[in-house]
Amino acid sequence: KKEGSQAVLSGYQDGALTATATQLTLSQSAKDSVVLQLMWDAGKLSVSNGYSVEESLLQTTVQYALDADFSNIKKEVTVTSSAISYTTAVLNNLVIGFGLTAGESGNLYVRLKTTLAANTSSKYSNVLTLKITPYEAGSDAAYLYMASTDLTSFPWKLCARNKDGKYDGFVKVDQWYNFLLTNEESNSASVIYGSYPADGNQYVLSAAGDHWNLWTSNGGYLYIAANTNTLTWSETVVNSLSVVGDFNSWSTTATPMTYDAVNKVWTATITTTSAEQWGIKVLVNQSWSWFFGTSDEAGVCTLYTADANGFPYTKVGTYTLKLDLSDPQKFKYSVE
Amino acid sequence: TKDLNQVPSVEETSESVYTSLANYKSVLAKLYSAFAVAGIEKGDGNADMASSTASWGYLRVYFNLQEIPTDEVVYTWAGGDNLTNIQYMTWGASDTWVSAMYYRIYYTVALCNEFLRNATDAKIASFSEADQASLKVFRAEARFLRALAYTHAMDLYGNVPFVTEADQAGAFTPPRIKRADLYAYIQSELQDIEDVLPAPLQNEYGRVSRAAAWTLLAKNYLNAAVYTGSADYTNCITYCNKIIAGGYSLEPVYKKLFNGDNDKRTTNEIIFPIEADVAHTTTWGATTYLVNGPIVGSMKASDYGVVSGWSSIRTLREFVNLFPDHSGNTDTRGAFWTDGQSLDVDDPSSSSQGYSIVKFTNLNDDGTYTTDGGLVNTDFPMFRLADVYLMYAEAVLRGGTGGTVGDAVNYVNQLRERAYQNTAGDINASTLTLDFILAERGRELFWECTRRTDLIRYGKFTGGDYLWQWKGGSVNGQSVDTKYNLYPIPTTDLASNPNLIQNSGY
Amino acid sequence: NAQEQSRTVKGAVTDEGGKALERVSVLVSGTAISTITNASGWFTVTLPPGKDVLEFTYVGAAKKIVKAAGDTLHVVMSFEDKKLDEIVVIGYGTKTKKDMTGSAVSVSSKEFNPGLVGSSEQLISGKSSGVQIMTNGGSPTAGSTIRIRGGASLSASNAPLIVLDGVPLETGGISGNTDNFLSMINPNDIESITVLKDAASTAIYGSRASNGVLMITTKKGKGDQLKLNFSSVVTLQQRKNVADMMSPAQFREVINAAGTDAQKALLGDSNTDWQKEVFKNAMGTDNNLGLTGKIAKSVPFRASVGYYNQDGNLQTDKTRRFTGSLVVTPSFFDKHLNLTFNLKGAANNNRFANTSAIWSSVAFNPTQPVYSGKSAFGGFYESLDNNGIPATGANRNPVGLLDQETRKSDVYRSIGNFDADYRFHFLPDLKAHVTVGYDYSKGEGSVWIPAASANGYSVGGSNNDYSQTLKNKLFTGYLNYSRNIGIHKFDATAGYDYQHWSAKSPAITYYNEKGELQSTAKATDERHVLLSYYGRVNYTLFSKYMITGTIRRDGTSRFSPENRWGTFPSVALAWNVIDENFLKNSNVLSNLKLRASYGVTGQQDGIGNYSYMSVYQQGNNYAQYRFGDEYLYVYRPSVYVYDLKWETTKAFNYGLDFGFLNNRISGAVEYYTRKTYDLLANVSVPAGTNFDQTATTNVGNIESHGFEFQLNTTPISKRDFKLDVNFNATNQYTKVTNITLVKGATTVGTYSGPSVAGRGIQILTPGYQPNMFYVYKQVYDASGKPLEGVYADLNHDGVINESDLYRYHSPAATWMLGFNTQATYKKWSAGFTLRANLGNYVYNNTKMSLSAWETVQYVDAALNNLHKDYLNTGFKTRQYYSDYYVENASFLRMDNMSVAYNLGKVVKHVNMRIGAIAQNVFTITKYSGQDPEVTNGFESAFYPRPRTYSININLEF
Ligand SMILES: [Ca+2]
Ligand SMILES: [Ca+2]
Repeated sequence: KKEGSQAVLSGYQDGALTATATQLTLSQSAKDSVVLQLMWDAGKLSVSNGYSVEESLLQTTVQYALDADFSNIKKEVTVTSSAISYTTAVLNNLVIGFGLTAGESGNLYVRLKTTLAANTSSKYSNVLTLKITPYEAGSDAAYLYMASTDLTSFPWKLCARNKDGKYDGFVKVDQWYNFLLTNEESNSASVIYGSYPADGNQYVLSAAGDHWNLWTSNGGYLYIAANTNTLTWSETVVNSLSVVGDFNSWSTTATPMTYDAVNKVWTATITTTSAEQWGIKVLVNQSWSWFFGTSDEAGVCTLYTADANGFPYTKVGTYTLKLDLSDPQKFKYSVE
Repeated sequence: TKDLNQVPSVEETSESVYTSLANYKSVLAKLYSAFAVAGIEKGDGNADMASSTASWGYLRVYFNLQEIPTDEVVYTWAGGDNLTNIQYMTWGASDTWVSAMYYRIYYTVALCNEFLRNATDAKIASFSEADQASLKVFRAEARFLRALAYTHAMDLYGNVPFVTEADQAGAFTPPRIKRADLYAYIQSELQDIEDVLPAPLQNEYGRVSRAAAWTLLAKNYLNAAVYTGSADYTNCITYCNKIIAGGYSLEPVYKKLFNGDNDKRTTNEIIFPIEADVAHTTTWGATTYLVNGPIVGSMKASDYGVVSGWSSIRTLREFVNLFPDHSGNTDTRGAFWTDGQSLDVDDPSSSSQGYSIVKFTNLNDDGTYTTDGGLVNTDFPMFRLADVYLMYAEAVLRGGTGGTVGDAVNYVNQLRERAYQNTAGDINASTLTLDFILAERGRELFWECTRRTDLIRYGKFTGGDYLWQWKGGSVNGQSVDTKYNLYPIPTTDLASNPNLIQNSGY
Repeated sequence: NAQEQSRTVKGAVTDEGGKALERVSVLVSGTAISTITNASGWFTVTLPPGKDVLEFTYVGAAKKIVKAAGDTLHVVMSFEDKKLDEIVVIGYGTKTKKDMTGSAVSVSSKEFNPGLVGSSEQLISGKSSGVQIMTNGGSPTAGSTIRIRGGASLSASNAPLIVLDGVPLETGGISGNTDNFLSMINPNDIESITVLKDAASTAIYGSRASNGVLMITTKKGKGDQLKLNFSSVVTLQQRKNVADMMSPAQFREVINAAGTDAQKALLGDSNTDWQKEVFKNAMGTDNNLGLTGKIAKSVPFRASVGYYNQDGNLQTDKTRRFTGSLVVTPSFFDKHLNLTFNLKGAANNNRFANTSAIWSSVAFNPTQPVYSGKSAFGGFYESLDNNGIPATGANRNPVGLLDQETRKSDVYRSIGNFDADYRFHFLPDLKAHVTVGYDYSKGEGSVWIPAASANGYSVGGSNNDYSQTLKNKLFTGYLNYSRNIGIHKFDATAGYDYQHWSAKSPAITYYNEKGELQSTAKATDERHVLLSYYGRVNYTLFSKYMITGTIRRDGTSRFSPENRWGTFPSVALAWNVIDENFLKNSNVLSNLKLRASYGVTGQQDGIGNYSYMSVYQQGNNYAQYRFGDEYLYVYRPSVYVYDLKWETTKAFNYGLDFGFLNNRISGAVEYYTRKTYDLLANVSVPAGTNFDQTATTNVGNIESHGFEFQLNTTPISKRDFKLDVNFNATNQYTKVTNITLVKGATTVGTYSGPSVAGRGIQILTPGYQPNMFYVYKQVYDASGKPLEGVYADLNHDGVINESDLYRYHSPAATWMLGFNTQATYKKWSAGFTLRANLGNYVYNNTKMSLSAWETVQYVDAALNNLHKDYLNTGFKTRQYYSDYYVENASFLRMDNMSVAYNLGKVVKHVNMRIGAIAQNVFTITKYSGQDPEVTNGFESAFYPRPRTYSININLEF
C-alpha cells in the first residue's frame, strides 16, 4: 500500500444491454428503415481523490453468437458510443451471414463485453435473445439521393454498387450546401438521413426524427461516400481530374479535364500518335492511387483506389474525351 | 607550476595527430567507421557514446527507426531493448531510440566538422603537393559523410540543429535549420564535391566515389516533395542516369549481395558499403544484428554462419503478402522461414509469431564461414544499383523528364529476372504503377533501411491508407497520426539548445 | 608580607604517571603573566602582590587551577576527562575541542563499532550526525559509500577526502580492488577518526574539501613498558535469500495453467532452490598482534601485524588481507625536533565470485536440476538452443557461473610518511613541519573462464590478466607560530603542498582457453598534479572569543592554465559562553559554546585528468576500417570542455555545544546551509557541438541545508556500574536549483540513476530534490490490486503519455538517526547500536523485472522463475515506470549488539578479555525487498548483507 492519496478505480462492472425489439420479422420492403436499436450502459469509470484515467481505457465490444453460451462468437464489434442502430437490410445481411435461414425464425444472442486492463478479467452484460426471421436478399440497385432540405429536388445521387450499404458518388454543390440523403426520390421517402453531430463530428448519419441537416463546408466538386452500416459519411474535394497515358508520358499535370456544369460532364482534348498501348487513366487529384481505369463494359470505367490498368483508348489523332460521373452506378466515358 | 601542465602519455592530442597524411587517414577512417562500429575496441568496446542507447551504434539504431515501425519488421526481445514504442508508433520526445539516432547523427556531424576544421588549406599548406591532393579528396569524403548524416537528420527529424566546420567544438548553441534549407545545403555540398571524388568504380574499397554522392543526390531529389513541398523528379532521373552510366551492373545472385563475401560486390552492384569484418571491424550492431537477430525457433545458427540466434526480429504478414508465395521458389527474394512460425502476429512478445527473414548471412560464397562468437563479415549495402533502378522508374512514373517508361520497365525487369531466375516475373508498362514500385521496393530492398522513407513518400506510413499488424499498437493495425512522419527532437536537446522548436504534435 | 610583595614560585608539572610535561601553559590568574614548562616539566613564575592562583593548561588535559601556598608546587595534570579538552586532529595541526571554531566530530578507538570490521570507515558507522556510511552490499570485497552531509555535488565525486596521518589518500579504487580500497588500511591500527564537516574546518583542504574530510590517525607508540596486544575475532556470516521467488511447485502450477505447450515442455522434474545453491554460511577471522614500547628506552615505537580472512556468502567469494605497520617517533635536541616514521603495508588476495550468478539464481527455472548428468558444459544443466549450444539470452546455470570461473586479484599497498617537526631553538613559538609521504599500490588480477562452460562457450573461454599501479607522492611544508600574550592567543600557520598522482595500466590481451587472441585493451598512463598554498590564523581573546581565518589557493593540472587556480577562504567565530562570569559558577551548565562559520570549498574529483584537452585515442585492431586492401587504425577525438573550472561550494554553519552536570550530558546542535555553484555535472550538450551526447562541464547549482543533533549522556557513573547512552540525529534536504546549460530552459529535467528500459529511473529537475523517481501514478482496483497499464492521467487530458510522469520521492533519507549505548558492570560490558533512516525510498527493480508473465520467457530454450508478487499483480508485461515499485524504505536497524567480559590477569602479566558480537541483528521496515538500504535507492540482485556472529578474544602482555 502506498502512502499519500490513493488512486483507486471504481465503476468497472457488468454492463447492461437492452434492445428496442426482441422478435423481428424482417421484410425487404422496409430494407432501409431502422428496425432495431441496441442500447447499453457499460458503466463509467471514476478514480478516487480527484484522479482521472485515460478516456479510452474501458474497451467495449458487442458480441454476437448463435449459441447462448457464446462458445462460437460470430462477430465482435468494438464500440465507443452507447447504441447501435440496424436497418432491416443491414441486420438481414448480418444474420444471414451468421447462418440464419431466410424465412425461418432463429435466435441471435447478443451481449456486451467490457475489458479494463491486461491483468483484469473481462466483464459481460446480460445476454439478449433476439428471435429474427430474415428474408432472402434481393438484388436491386441501391441508391441514396442527395435531396434538398425541403425534399423537393434530388440533383445528385450516390450508389451502393455492391448493395453493401457503402454508397458513393460525385456531386457539385455550393459551399455550405445543406442536404439530406433519402432512399427514394420522393418527399415521402421511407428513410431520410440527416446528421446528429455529437461531439462536434458532423460526419454521422442519423435517421432518427430529431436529426439535423447534412452539410458541407467545402462545396465545389466533391466525392461523397456514405455508409449506412456505420452511419457515417465523408467528403473529399476533387480539385482535378487529369488524363495520363503514353501520349503525355504519363504526366499527372499535362492533360487536366474541365468540367461542363451544364451537361454535368468532364472533358479533355487529347492528341495521340498511336493507339494507347496500356490504355489511359483519369487521375483524381493527380493521385496514382485514386483514378478511373479499366472495366469489363465498353464505355464504362471504374474508380480504383489500388493498382489497376487503364481503360482502352484506341483513337489516333485529336479527340475529346468526355467523362460522365453523374450516375455513380456506372461511370461512363466517350470519345468524340 | 610547470608541473601543472600535464599531457596524456598514451593518447594523442589534436596538435600531435594532425601532423601526417597517415594520421589524417586514420581520422578519416573513424568518420567512416562511425557508421559501422560504435567504439574503438572489440565489439564496440571503449564506446564512442557510452552514456546512452547510442552505444548500440549508428546502423543498428538507424535500422530500428527506419524498419521497426513499418510492415517489414516485428520486434521481440523481452530481455533486451524496449522497442515497443517504436513498433507501435507511440514514441515520444523522451524515447531512448529517438534520442540515440539523433545523437549518433550529430556525433558523426561533429567528427566530420572536426576533421574539416583541421584540414583547411592553411593547415595542410606544409604538406607535399601529392599529400595535399590526397587531403583534398579526404575533405570531400568527410563532406559526403556529413551530408549523409544530415540527410538522415532531415529525413527522420525534419527541422534540426545546424553545425558546420565554421563552428568551434565546445559549448555553443547551434541555430535551427528548416528542413527545406537543410535539403538545399546538402544538395549544394554534394554538387560541390562530386568532381573532387574519384570517378565511379575508381575509388578504393570502403571509400566513396562520386557515384555515392550522386546516389545520395538522387535519393533526396526523389523525396524532394516530402522534404521541401515541391517535387524534383527530373533531377532524380538526371543523377540516376549518371550512376547507371558509371559502369555498375547487377550482381547476378541476389543473396550474394548480403553474405559474408559481399565486399566483393563493390566491383559490380554495391556503390557504398558499411563494412563489417570478424577480425578487424567488429560490432554487435550493424549487420551482426541483421544476421543474428532473425535467427529464431527451429532455425540453426550455423546455417547462417554464426553461433546462436537472438530471436529478436521477424516480419509481418502484410510484407509476406507482397510476394507471390513465401517459399522463395518463385521470387527467390521471398524465402521466409516458416517452420514453427505463424504468419499472423497476435502477440508481438512471442518469438514464434511472424515469419522470419532470411536475407543477411555470414556465409561465404562457397558456403563456409568464419565467425567469432557471432560477429560477422557481412557489409551493409548503404547504396546499391538496384535502388537506383527503382528510383529511376519511380521518378519517371511520377512525371520526371529525362527518362522513359521503356527504360524503367527494362530496369525493373532486370531486378525481377534476377529474383525469379527467369523471365516469368517480367512486367509490362501497364503493370508498372507507383503502387507496384512501392511493393517492388519492399521485395528488393527490405531491411535495407529505406522502408519508412518510402512509405512516407507514398503517404502510407501514417494515416489509415495502409494498415499492417501492430501499426498503431493494435493487432490488425490502425490509423496513426501524421505527426509520426517525423520523429520528435529529443527533449534533452530542446533543453540544451533554445534555438530548437519541437516538431508539431509532440 | 605576602600580601604586598612579589614572590617567585617554582614547580614541576607531570601527568598522572609522573612523567614530566613540557610546554604546559602557566598563567597567573587575573594577570597577563604567563610562562611554559621546560622539557623537564619545570617552571618558574613571579607572582605579583596579592596574586597566588595559577592556571595550568595543557593540550588534552583538564585545566587545573592551583593556589600557590608555598614556593614550590607539584602539579599533576589529569587526562581523564577528555570531553572538553580532547585533542581534535584538524588539517595541518591539532586543536583542543574547546578551541575549535568549526564543526568536527572525533571518534576514538574506544568508541569504535565492535565486531567484524572489513574496512575502516565502518568503525564509525552510526556514531556521528551528518555522516552516512553504507556498505555497498554483503560481499566481503564490497566497500562503502561515505557521505558527509550528503555530499555537495551531483555527478562529480560526493566522496569525502580521506587523510591518513597527514597523507591524502587516493580516491576510488584500483584494478583488483575497485570497491573497497580503504580496506587496505587495517582498522585495528586506527586510533581515531575525525570528521570535518563544515567549510571552516575543511577549507584548509581547499579544492578537495567540498564533501567533507575524514582524518584518520593511526596508533603510535606510548609508555615505557613493552606491551604486546593480541586480538582475534572469529565470525560466522549467515546466508540470506535475495528475493522471494516461486517454489518449484508454485512455478509448475502457474506454467501449467497459463503457459503454451512449448513452455510446459521446458518444465523439468527437479526441485531446485537456486538461491540455496549459490549462497552459503561463511566463516571469517581477523587476528592482530600489536607491540608498543620504546627502543633503547628512548624511542617510542609501535609495530603491528594483522591477518584477516573472510569468505563471502556467495560461493567462491573470498578475501584475505595481511597488514603490517611500524611507527617510530624519536625526538632530538631536547624534544625540539620530533620525527615520525610511519610505514604501512598491506597485501590483499581476492577471489571474486561472478555476481551475475545472483541474478541467475533468482531467475533460473526451479524445475531444472543443477547437474545435467551429462559431461557437456562441466556437467551443469544449461538451456540449449537448436544447435545444442547455450542459448543466447538465456540465464546461465548460477552454480556453473560460480564453480567454473576463477577471477582473482592480488593487491599490494604501502603508505608511508616521514614527518619532521622542529621547534626553533631561538624562537620556541615557531615551529616548522615537513611531511613527505607516499601512497603506492599495485593491483594484479586474472579472469579464467573455461571453454567448456556455458558462459565461455561462444568464444572458447576467457583467460586474461590485468594490472594497475597507482602512485601518489606528497610533500607538505608549513610553519606554525603560536604565542600567548596575556589575554591574547595567536596561532598562525602557513604552508605549501605538492601532490602528484600517477595511474598506469599495461595493455591487456584477452585470450580464450586455447590461447587464441580474442581482444586487446590499450595501456593507460595518466597523471595529475595539485599545488597548494595555504594559511590559517587563530586568535583567541580571554580564552572566550575565537576567530579563525583560513585561505587556500590550489592549482590543478586538470584545468586549462586560465582556470586552474582557485582560492578558497573561510572564517569562523566561536564564543565560549560558559566562561563568562554569569555562567562560570553554574552548577548545572558545564559547557556552552556558540559557533558560526562561512567558507568556500572546491571540487575537481570525479572528472577526467585531461578533460579540457582535445585528446585523440587510437582504436585497437578490432575496430579498424578497411580502405582498399589496408586495415587502418582509427583516431577518435574525445569529448572535451576547454573552459572547465572548479565546482565551488559556499557554506554557512551554525553550531552550539552544550554540557550539563559536569558534562555528564553533553552534545551539539548544528545547522548548515550550503550552495554549490558551477556543478561539474555530466549533462546533455547541444547536439553537434561535442564528441558525445553528454559532457562533464560546469552546469547548474544545488543547495542544501541540514540540521544535526548529537547527545552524549552518562546516566549512571558508579564505581562498578557505568552506562553511556548516545544519540544523534541528522536532517537533510537538498534541492536542484539549475541543471541546464541554458538558463531557464523549459525541461522536465535530466534523467538520472540506474537505467530502466532505456532511461534513468530518476530525474534531476530544478526546484526538486535530486534523483527523484520519475514514474507514473499507479491506479488500483478496490481490492488494492494494481491495474496493469492503468495510470492516473495527471494532467487530465484524456491520454496517458510522458506528460503524466511525476516525481515520486527520493532515495535520500530525510532523517537519519543513530542510537548507541554501552554499559559496564564490574568486569562485564555490553552495548548495542541502532540506526534508522526515515523517508528514503527504493525502486524494487528485482521485483519489477521478475514478476510479469512476459518475463517467464525471453528465449525459446529457457523459462525463468517468477517473483511471488506475480500472484498479487498478475501483470502480463513489466510495468517499468509504475510507482508501485517505488517503496518507502524507512528502516530501523540494529547494527550490532555486543557483550564482553574482562577476565583480568589470567596468568602472570597476561590480561584477557573475551566478547561476543552480533552484527546486522535485525531490520524493521515496511520495504518488501531484500534490503532497504541500497545504492541509488535501486535494488537489483542485491548481494544480501548477512547477519554476522563473532567471538573475540583479546590478550595483553
Ligand atoms: Ca566485410
Ligand atoms: Ca495525460
